[in-house]
Amino acid sequence: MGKLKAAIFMFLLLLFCPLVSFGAEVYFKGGLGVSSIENYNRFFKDYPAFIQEDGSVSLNLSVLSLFESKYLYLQGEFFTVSSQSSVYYYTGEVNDYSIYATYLGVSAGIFSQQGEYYFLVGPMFSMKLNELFTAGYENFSTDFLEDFPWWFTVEVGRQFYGKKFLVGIKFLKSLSAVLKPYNGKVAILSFVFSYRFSNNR
Amino acid sequence: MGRLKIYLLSILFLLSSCSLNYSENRDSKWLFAVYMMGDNNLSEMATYDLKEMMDVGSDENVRVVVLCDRGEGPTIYEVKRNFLEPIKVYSTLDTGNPDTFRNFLATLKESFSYEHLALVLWDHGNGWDITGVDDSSKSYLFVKNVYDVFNSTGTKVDLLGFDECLMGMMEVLYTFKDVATGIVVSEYLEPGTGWDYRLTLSKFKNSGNYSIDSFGKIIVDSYYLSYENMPDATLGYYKSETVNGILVALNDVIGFYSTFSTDFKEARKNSVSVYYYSYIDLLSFADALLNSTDSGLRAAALQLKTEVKSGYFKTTSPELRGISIYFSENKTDLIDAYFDFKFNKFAETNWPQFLKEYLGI
Repeated sequence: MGKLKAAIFMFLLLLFCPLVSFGAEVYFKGGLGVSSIENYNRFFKDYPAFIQEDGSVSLNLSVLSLFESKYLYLQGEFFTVSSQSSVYYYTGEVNDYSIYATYLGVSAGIFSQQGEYYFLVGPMFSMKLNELFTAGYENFSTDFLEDFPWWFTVEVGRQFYGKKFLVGIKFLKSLSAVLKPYNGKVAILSFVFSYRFSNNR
Repeated sequence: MGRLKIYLLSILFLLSSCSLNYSENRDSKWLFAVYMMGDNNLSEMATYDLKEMMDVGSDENVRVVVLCDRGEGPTIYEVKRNFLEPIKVYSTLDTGNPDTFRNFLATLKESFSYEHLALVLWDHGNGWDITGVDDSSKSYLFVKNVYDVFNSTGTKVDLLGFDECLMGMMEVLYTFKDVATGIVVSEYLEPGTGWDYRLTLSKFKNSGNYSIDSFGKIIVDSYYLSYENMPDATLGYYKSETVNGILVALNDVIGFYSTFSTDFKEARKNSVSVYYYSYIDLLSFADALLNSTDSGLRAAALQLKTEVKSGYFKTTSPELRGISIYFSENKTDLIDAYFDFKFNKFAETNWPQFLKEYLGI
């Protein structure tokens, strides 16, 4: 419970920092996509089984704040990473294996608008909040994913309703291996929806 | 700029105050560690044995740890229920290299806390000389290498097992009697599937009796249950004091050897060979010596039988009854390394000298 409280506290603080710090133009964002962990199936290399990689969902919530120059942004982000596989044992059993992790990230970079379209790119530093490995019906606290990875984020999309509402595609990729035991990078591709909170413009 | 500072300071505060640790409890009554040398044609069998262990998993009574080398990405796993948790991942390993075995023991000591250690060597076995083969590295792990690692690191184990063929030899038992309280070995060939880890670990966990004897006997019983319909399945559990008793009785027996007597030649001829002609069943040898006209030798042979039988042994063969010993009958077949302490600790006993006298060397 302590960890959960800490996570909620950090989530709120980190996400609302851009709001209180700048307050010029702030967007609330939510997204849904797929994540992929390179080499994840190497967890099962010594299992007497056929491995099928399943789709893995990633969620993200963030607050984006534009600097007054409108060319730079600061973003606090909460996102999940997961990967799932079905393991078909030759003995006849089938087990689902999944790894889940939640991260908090802070990114800053360039924000650009061309007519109705927008583009942002920048590095992101993140901190792992928790990690869970589920095997069959068992859950295990594990530490297979890096605690403080760096990422590269790119987002493109279109602005609607007088730039009040943004729809985009976001790509997030780790700059180095995040899956520690098997040296695997992580990539996330999501659809993101943003709503401009402030009316200062 | 002031607002930016506040923001960065907030983040630094968060990072410093909320680091989350995943400290895993790795204390247990028993650590059941398997040195799985599967970089050879037993590679697939390794996966099945891992699955058997996964079906049971680890708990605070018995924690299961395996170094699995199947040629690519050797890994030390903690075996949990339905899950192999990687502890250390290597790009490659030569499990035939004694240093690899030494490092495995070091990892066990560093990463786990336990009251009792059961260590199993898993691979092809060839008796007194070889206990593992690494095909990729084209290397062998020799029995004496394993002893030297134990000796140089001061490692003692409560239970030492060989999930391998032909390791139930007097030479093997003697080599490890001072570093292991109990030893589990198969006199004859083992099937590729080896020990039944699912049955062994579940029976041991459910027994509630976590003594060394209990574990040793459960390994033997489980193996017997798994292969009771298979011919020539053998497995035995021998305590170090049992091995000492056998050695004393064996010394007494060979003390009666005389070049003028045919007792030993007849007994050797009537002994049961164990896979190789030069490996003989020790009980069958003692039985054959009972035909001697020398009452002293008969009494010594009887004592040898008693000592061998004091081990906990189960067999599906009427002829294979516990322990074998190297007894070449031909000078030309002799293996020089057998007589060299560097390769065979048993070379320090009276038996090799007896063999030389017997063969007239």
